[in-house]
Amino acid sequence: MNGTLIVAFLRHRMTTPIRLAFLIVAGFFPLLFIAAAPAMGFAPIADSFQFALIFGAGMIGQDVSSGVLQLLFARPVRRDVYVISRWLGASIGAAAAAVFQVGLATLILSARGAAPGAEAVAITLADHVASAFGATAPLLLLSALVAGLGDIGLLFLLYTSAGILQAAGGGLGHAFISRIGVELQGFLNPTLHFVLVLNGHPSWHHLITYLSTVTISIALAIVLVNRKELSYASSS
Amino acid sequence: MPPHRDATGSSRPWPRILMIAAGALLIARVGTGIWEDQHPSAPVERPGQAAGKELVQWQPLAIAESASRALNKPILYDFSAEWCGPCKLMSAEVFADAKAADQINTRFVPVRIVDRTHEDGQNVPEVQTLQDRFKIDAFPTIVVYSPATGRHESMTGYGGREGMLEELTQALAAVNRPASPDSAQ
Repeated sequence: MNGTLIVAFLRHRMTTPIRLAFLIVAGFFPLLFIAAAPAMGFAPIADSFQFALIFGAGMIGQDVSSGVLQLLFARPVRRDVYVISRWLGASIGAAAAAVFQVGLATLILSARGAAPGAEAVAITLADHVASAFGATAPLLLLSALVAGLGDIGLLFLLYTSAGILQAAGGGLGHAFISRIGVELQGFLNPTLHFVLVLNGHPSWHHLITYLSTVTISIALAIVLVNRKELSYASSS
Repeated sequence: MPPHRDATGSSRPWPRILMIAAGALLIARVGTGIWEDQHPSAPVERPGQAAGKELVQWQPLAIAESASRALNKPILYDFSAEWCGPCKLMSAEVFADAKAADQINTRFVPVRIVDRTHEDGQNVPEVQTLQDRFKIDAFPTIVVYSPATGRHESMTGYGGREGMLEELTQALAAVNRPASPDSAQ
């Protein structure tokens, strides 16, 4: 982990106008639903996937396409440290946005006479932070695979494929095809639901699936970045 | 200047520990997945709750309408899904609470409907028909429906135990109002 890389990454993210615009829309739009229908509780803010996209999209790919990576690796920076710092930077940014959003949602619900209990707030916060750290991991892997913002396209393609597999499995009556789609979708947006533990249904599989997705994504991203041959004459 | 090479002198070391962890977790993932498919976990006791017991007396969908007419109580449909976090929270705070469960059992014919689209790609026809009928597109959704008056009230999302019980009281009053020609649904 490299604190300087993380801070620089977050500073870049917070000063990019298009990302800021998306951040404001993704952060405040669901709050309008909460204000209009407080009985829905935290339901309109399901997870932190949108924040992970805003902070994480192109986290490595843009460095590759802009030539920053060549300059960066001319400095005393190990590649695995760079990759992990990128993931942490995107995760911290997404988690901070999610915490801010949950805080505002709690205030709105309280003001509208539907104050959530402390347990509900704590669970929602924990779920959203876990979602932020989880969703940025596969995005890191995709960003190491393709240059620029190609990771968003790849993510969309994989999500669509997962949906098609689920629908096809259901239509053809083959549960295993649906299961492949479900697993693929779960890989692209790993989440933890702490309420499962509180509800008396602790699941090791649920926890291990999350940790497995995150570690596989980071490990493969490091391998991919390690294998990149960079030169000023090359674009990748 | 911080070191940028590992013990072998490489600036791009193989992430050995991470790969071992990822491999071990992948094996554990498959193992626990198979184990939990074959051995569904029993609920664990929480303070103030009865362990492993469903306090709400959920009724089968097939007998809901006839039970509702016989007992003169509206049906409470709980539309939920396995992956739905707020549904679990609502279960923990409302359906596993003895006082709330008692109110529900006394005033309604409770029926739980679990959406399986995410897991199986589709629902069984009876469930899908019911979801289409009440236009269910988010979870959790509670529908209070009276076959006697034909009225129903829907509540989407979960905003806390007290709020939900209050809404159930209002829904009960609303669906029990006799249907009039201009307000029939």
